[in-house]
Amino acid sequence: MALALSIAVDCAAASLDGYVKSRQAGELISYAQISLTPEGANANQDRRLPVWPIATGSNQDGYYAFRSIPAARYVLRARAFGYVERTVTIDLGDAPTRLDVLLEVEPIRIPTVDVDGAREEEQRTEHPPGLIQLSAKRLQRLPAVGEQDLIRSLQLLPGVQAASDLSSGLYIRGGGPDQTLILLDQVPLYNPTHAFGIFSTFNPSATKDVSLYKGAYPSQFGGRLGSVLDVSNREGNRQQFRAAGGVSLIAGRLTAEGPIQNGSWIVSARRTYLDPILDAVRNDSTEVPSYYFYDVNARINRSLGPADNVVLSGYRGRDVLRLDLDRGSYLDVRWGNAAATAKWTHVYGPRLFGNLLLSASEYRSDTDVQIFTTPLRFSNRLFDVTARADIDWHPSPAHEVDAGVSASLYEFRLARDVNRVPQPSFDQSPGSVTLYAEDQWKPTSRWSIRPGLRAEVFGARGRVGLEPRLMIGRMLSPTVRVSAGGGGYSQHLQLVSTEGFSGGDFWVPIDQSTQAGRSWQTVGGVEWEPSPRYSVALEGYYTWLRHLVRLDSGRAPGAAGETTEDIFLTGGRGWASGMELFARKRTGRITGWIGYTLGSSRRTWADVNQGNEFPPKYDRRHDLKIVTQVEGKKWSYGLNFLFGTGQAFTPAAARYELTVPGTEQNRDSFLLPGPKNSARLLPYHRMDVSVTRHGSLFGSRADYFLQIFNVYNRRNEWFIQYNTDGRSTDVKVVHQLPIVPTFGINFAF
Amino acid sequence: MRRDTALMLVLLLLGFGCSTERDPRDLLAPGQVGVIVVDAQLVVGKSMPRIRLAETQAPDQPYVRGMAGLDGASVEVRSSEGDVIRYGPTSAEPGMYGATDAPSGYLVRPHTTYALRVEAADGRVVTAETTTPDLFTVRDWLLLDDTGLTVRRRLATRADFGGDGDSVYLAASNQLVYQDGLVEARFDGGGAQGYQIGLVSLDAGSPIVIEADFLGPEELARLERETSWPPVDATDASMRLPWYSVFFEGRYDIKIFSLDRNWYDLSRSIQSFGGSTIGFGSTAGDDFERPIFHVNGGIGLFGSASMDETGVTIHPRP
Repeated sequence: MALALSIAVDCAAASLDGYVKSRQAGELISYAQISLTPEGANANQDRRLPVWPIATGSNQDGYYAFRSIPAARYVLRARAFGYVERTVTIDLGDAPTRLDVLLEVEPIRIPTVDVDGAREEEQRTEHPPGLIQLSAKRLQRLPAVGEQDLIRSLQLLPGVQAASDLSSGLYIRGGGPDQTLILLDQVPLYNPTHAFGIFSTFNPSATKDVSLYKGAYPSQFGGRLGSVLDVSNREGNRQQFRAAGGVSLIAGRLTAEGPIQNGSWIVSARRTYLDPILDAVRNDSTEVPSYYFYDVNARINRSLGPADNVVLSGYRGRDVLRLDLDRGSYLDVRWGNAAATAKWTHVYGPRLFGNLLLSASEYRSDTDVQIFTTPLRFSNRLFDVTARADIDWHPSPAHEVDAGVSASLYEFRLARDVNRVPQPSFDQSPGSVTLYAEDQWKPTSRWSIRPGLRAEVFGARGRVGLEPRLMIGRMLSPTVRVSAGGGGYSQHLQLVSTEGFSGGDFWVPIDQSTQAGRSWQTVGGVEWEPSPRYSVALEGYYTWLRHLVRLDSGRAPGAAGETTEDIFLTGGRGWASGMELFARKRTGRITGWIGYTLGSSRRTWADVNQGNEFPPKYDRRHDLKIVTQVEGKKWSYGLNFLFGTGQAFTPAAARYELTVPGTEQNRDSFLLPGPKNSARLLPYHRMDVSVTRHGSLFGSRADYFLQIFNVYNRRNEWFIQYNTDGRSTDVKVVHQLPIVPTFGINFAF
Repeated sequence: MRRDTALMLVLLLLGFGCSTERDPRDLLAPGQVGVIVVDAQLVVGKSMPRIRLAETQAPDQPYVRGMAGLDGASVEVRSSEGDVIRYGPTSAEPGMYGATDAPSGYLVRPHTTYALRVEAADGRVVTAETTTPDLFTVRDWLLLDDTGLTVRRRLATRADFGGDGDSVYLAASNQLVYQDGLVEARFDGGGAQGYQIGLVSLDAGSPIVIEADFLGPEELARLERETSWPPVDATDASMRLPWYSVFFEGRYDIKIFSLDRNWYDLSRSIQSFGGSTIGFGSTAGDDFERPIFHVNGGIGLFGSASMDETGVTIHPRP
């Protein structure tokens, strides 16, 4: 107590900053936990004094800093998921001290600590509600269908749903997939899917970590009404050349990495090898498409000195589908993303860290269909180029300010050609300018308050949209934290997506003809950590949605779609609310979680469902997820169980006949829909299991895995199809995936 | 003990997996049975059409056309020019009504509003209104080269033969080889809500002209001789014949309709064109929407169009 008191009143201010890195690979470690404790000090209970240890976390670039701390001799502890905790004793005097902390990679298959399982008390107050940070390693171990997939793994978290077994779209807390901003190394990806949405574009071998803000996300992000998925790629090994790969039922992966002068490089590529199988199955009487996808990630990091680092990174992914039906009839679809970034980070001094980012992202899809020589062409391109500057400023021990400015230029081009007649195209090039600032204010060691403001001007609208944000955290006791947050969010881009065929997805900017989507989110929660091994979190949320748009599915093909009001039904409203319970066991031989969500979501459009409120298809009242992993020296096991309320669907309420417009004699039979989404499919549930044998292959480390998706072959319902060709209405339930076994090898050398 | 536990677990899992079969009728919700359906398409320059009245049937019961027809209704149409056309039942089928006291030789007029009033025997009243488009004429029927889109030749119309309807099918210019070239109609754009192509194969029993191994016998048997295409807005005042709507050899009428709002809205919103439940731009099964009906007190179509047409003969590819 005496020591703590003496430190607290000591005016001498020291500072400590640096990077957290992997000792073996030299890679920067994001979101590591760093704590400082004066040597010989014990945690005190006097609220007027600092509560030792004080803690912070490395940012996405691996940088950490302590400002204006009393000069003293400290014990620094650093830890991160997948690394051995390290303790360093350090003398901090009046001069700023720079210390790069090197962490050893944990020996494989020793029970590990989840990154957010090692959170120190003070830093936990800053943890926004709704944020889940997970390392890619953890997500890769979860049972998968055919190919490891990050987004599908995220669908195992509470509050995150999939539209179907065939979808890697993220439906978070009652929002649609377009309401989630998906970033890869800070660059937005507009269609992060392969294989019609079955897989995401994120190559698990190249991915480092994943942050998912399920709601009330901070000011540094914007442009979406709901949530943010922030994915960071690996930087490459700075010490030695390494290679790793894997083969699964449908794709092969290879990653190579190594050092360059004062830096590292990494290239990771993935490609499906279904082509020869499909070619073999295809014959004169069986139409089997030719299909493949590939993606390549590459990155070069180089330090230009102790204060400067430059990163160049790129991504390209493509899907190609060709189906030849007959003479003059075929389907040819190509789509994919490309992204490139150049990033310069600079440590201006112990109080200021900054980075400058130039990025470009492109999504394009080209659909070319010919039916009996009648051609239909559909081409969509979205290109954006962004310049962005961010700073991380520590003006005092109680304040840490994140601020930034960005400017983007977009190019949207939607072109259609029906029967060789060009249709009205959609061609816009709006720009946007965004400013944000957020202060992480710690008035006491137990409180954290993060007020923020984001301002955005989009397109020719000329009006500045202001989005206030606020997060408050409070440690009630060393094991109990409460937090609440909220804010305003807007969305100027609208995704038009087709489930089951993501290749045709396109984005449309909201122009002056209608208002941009707007949401107000509130979240609040309490988290109890009785020990570092266990945690239980309870969160509630409510979101108001305004100015929603929805594709006018009755829009005539070829109709002039020169404004968003022509393309969409506008003026939609909605809300989503729920409670989430998330209980985790984070360390030990057996790890996992139980997540339960009680949720509800509704939408209203004047021209839909006769103006009455309806639940969106993905509204789910109950959603239970159980994820378990058992790690052993030779064998590891995994088990997932999911249970959820059945999806909403619109039942047929009556049948009638009409003469088909444009004909005199051709009378057809139709069904009249009942209230929209007023019925439910059967509850969804399934269990997945995985077994991994840790061994070797030609002297190199190798994991042989067997994963079984939907092990008890539950035929979950996907959607209902009605057929009125006969006198009786034929009702068919289209089911989701049956049992799907997957096996493969992951290796490294 | 361990074996018993494992057995119980397996049985439990199998039980989970096998519980998805259910009565399809559970997936229907008959809640709008007995709604009056109006079916009438007015075409400018043609006589007043028959009007069919029916009632919606329960979706979980077999649809019986005879039982759906609505008899005993009082039906009349009034024009904005003061004409009153009364309708009475015909013997064609239950629920079919024909004009009984229209002015002699009365034809549907352009740019005229027609108001329908139906009073069912039980007192229910259904009304609808349509304003007919202006007269619509195709200026040129052309055959284009399908690569360079240059004009190969002009197609003849009935007017070229002084109204002799059958000569047009025999004209040398109107002999088309399946999928050879593109038929294009050029017209003067005229403020219609949209345009629609209709095709009628006139030679019942003529052979199939399409080459489609990927279609099975059942699908081939369902090919219709009278088809129409989804409406388009044709901003460049031209439309091209979609070859994929042509299934048979022989004589065809090609019609272009200039649509009023009612016809246009229903055509673009009803699930007749494709009928897929995975619609473009939607989640699976989420595009089952109520069509846009402009009928008060009921559903259906009371719409109008202007139309021009020509005739061609389709020959198979050599």
